[in-house]
Amino acid sequence: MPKKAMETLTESMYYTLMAFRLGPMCGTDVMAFVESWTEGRVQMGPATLYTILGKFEKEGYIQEVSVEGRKRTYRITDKGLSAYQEERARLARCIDDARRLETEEGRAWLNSREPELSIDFRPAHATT
Amino acid sequence: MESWLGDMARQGLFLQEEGIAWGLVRFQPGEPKEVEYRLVSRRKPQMLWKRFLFGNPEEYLDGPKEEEVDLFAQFGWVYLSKCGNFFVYQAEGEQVFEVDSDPQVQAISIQAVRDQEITSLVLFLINTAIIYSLNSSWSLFTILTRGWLPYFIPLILPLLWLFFLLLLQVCTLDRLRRKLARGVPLDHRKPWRHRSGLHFIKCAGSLLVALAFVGSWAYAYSGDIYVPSECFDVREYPGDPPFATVADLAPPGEYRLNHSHFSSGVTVWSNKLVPVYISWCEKADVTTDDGSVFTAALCVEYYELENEWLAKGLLWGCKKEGKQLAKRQDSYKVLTLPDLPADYAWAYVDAWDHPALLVRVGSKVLLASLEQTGDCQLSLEEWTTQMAESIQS
Repeated sequence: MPKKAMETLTESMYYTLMAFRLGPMCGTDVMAFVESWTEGRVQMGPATLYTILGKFEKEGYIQEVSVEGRKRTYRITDKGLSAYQEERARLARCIDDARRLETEEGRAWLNSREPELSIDFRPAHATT
Repeated sequence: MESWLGDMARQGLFLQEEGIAWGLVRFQPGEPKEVEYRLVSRRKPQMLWKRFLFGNPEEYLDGPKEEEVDLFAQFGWVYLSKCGNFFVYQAEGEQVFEVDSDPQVQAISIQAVRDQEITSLVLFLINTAIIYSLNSSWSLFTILTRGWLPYFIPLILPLLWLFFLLLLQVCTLDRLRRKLARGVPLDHRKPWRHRSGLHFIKCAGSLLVALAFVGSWAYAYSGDIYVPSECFDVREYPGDPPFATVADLAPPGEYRLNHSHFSSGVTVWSNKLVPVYISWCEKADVTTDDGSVFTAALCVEYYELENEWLAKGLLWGCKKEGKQLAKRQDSYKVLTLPDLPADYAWAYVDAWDHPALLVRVGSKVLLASLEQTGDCQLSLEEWTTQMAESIQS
């Protein structure tokens, strides 16, 4: 079933909320943080950032706290913090599921279902 | 658009500041070089009614906000021009920092533009319906049955064409949005030539529609659209008309046609949808044996249509027309009818302050108005019943 908008955050959105967790920031600061903290892996274009800020403000994830000339500063709201924590927990579960598959528990599960499975799901390093 | 502008720059033609307007693009010459162009969607809707309602110029500026322009400038992108619901930015060189790095986020901005276009489309339909219903005294069925449709189609063609263009825009944006939502980034170097054909087709279509509109309007204004008809005196009508006339409504007596302040006559025509049409205007005096005079002016429009569905439509059209005309003269009033032998009957006071009857029996429609003066007069019940009964069979 397709997810509704904002149910799962994209990587850019997730890192934007992560940036705002540090404190009130303007758009330029967010971009600088994301590029720096991900060591250049995640680079946000200006249009992407602008769209995310607009969407988050509309959804109530962030709110504007001050305007100095052309520079607008935002802070994360409780709703935004909650969304960030939910996404973080979801990502943690994804990694946890992958790790569990490599353990005794995972191997036992695979063995119990091997005759039913048409594809060999055994871990690459497993021996028969 | 992006790849086309880039190709033009490689030929030494560069988009001017605010160089896109009314479907035209202005260029300035220069040294050919690699320049990238990007179309970035507007953040806020651009509907006129919101400017009147909210009146906050900050919210509904024509161009991008200054902070947006500054932010883009930090990455080498310079704002150039508006282009419908998009802003055109330019950056020099082949290796540029992309403005949109996340296709799924870009899909969100495209969706906002698509939603605004859908709203424009719906408002366009609502406005058209309201304007038509308030101003038009001709219903579609009136136009259809009188054979005017071939001349009216080009008149409404601009509306249909505009609706088609809006719908095409909505579908294009939606297709783009779905592609981006799947995580597929746009190809900014996509060959533009095969899309340019579609653009020229739209331009040619718009030109043809405009010409057809002007041509049809001129032709309709010339009066040549009316169906060829025959006109003659009521006494010359061959046989009996298929409805009651003054002679049938009046009490027995001496009949005399009366031309004072009234022009009697019959007009007949026929077409595929309306095999029989009779317009009958008759003013006559009937002097009874006891010396009383029955004077009446009867105007009838009688239709025999191809089928009942057309008759129902025409009836609705005639009712709408009669009501609108009477309301303009402040004479409109619905009259109470007895139970008439008809599929539908309705009576009202028409624009000339006379009682009028609109009745349908099967695929026949009759519109009759009767003005009575003189010593003896028929009641509404009497003459409407006779008229309804006369068109049975």
